[in-house]
Amino acid sequence: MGAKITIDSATLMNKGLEVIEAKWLFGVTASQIEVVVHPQSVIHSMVQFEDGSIKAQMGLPDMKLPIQYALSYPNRLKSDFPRFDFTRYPSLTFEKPDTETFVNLALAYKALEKGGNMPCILNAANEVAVQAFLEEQIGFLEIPEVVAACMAKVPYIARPAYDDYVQSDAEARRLAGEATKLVC
Amino acid sequence: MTHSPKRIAILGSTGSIGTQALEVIAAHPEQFQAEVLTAQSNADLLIEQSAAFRPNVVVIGNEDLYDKVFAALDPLDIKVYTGQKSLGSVVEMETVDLVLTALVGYAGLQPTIRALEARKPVALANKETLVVAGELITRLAREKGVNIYPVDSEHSAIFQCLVGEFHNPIEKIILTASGGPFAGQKPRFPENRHPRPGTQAPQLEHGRQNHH
Repeated sequence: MGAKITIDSATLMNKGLEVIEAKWLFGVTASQIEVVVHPQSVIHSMVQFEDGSIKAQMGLPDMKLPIQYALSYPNRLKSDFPRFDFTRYPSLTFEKPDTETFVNLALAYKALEKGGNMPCILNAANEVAVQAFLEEQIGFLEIPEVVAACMAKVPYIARPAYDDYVQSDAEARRLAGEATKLVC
Repeated sequence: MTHSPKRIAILGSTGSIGTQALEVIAAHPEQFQAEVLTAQSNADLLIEQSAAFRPNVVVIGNEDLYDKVFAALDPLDIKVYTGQKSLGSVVEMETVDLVLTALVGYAGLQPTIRALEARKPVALANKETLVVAGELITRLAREKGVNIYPVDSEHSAIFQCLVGEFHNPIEKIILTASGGPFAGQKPRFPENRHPRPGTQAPQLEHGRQNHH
């Protein structure tokens, strides 16, 4: 699973999946979620309010902090995690993600806007495509091609029930398996 | 400040999130208690964790490993179950205060649904749950009046920014991305060939120059 996350980070699919999660967790629309590349990973994300004020949560990257907060909410517990020192990070930089190269992020937005079973199809197709890449059956740039092909072919269901998700997942995996063989 | 510790079910205790959650619990024994630990196939680590944290119940997903785990943990008075169905049952236990879903892949969906139905708050570290079935999950959480706490750093950050802002609409969420190993490369890079997978991916930067 470590390799899967590394590839998903490289294709930005990981970020695309996070955009979809954010929509559901925080009840916003796709157009209200902006992805910004921030190589230092010190700002872990931000929220802008209607008066224009932006709140950012910062710190050194350490998974234990979000884990602990999820367990301790609403309290904050004392920790010995390393502390952030501003003077050691004189510049925090930000740039627009390159969705032309990293088509997966654009595909994730598309799936989110379409809704229904489309994110399920995206996720399943991506898992199969990444696996095929790891097994050197397809190239890096073919990962989004497989995902896009599945999004076009698996029947769209606007209001899926649990069983529809299971079926869409299976169908997307089957088609993605075929697609990974076709593209090479 | 006398209160009993929060009893936590960790689904996927032998993975990266699960082991770090246990470190958090170990650092705050007065706050947290590992009530349930589960693993799919890493029986050795599950046994080791259980001997250290003494959960009430343990689930080993792979049924072939049940005998091994049972033999090790029964003498410690720890109940051992096996199979996917057991995951759905243990989250409903009365002695569970919070469920941490740290399973990978599709397997995280069903136990999360069962936990929410049983009105257990869920700390969610399983991506697929919201990506695949976000509407179903969030509707269920609303109906049952239970919270879902995000565990990954980006959503936790957003969640933390929203504390105290309950009545204030969000204009925009700015989700930061490290950019991954290919950040800053020219468009259409990496070239469309078969790079080495996994952690070696960044080496492509050098490989490209050497190859031609």
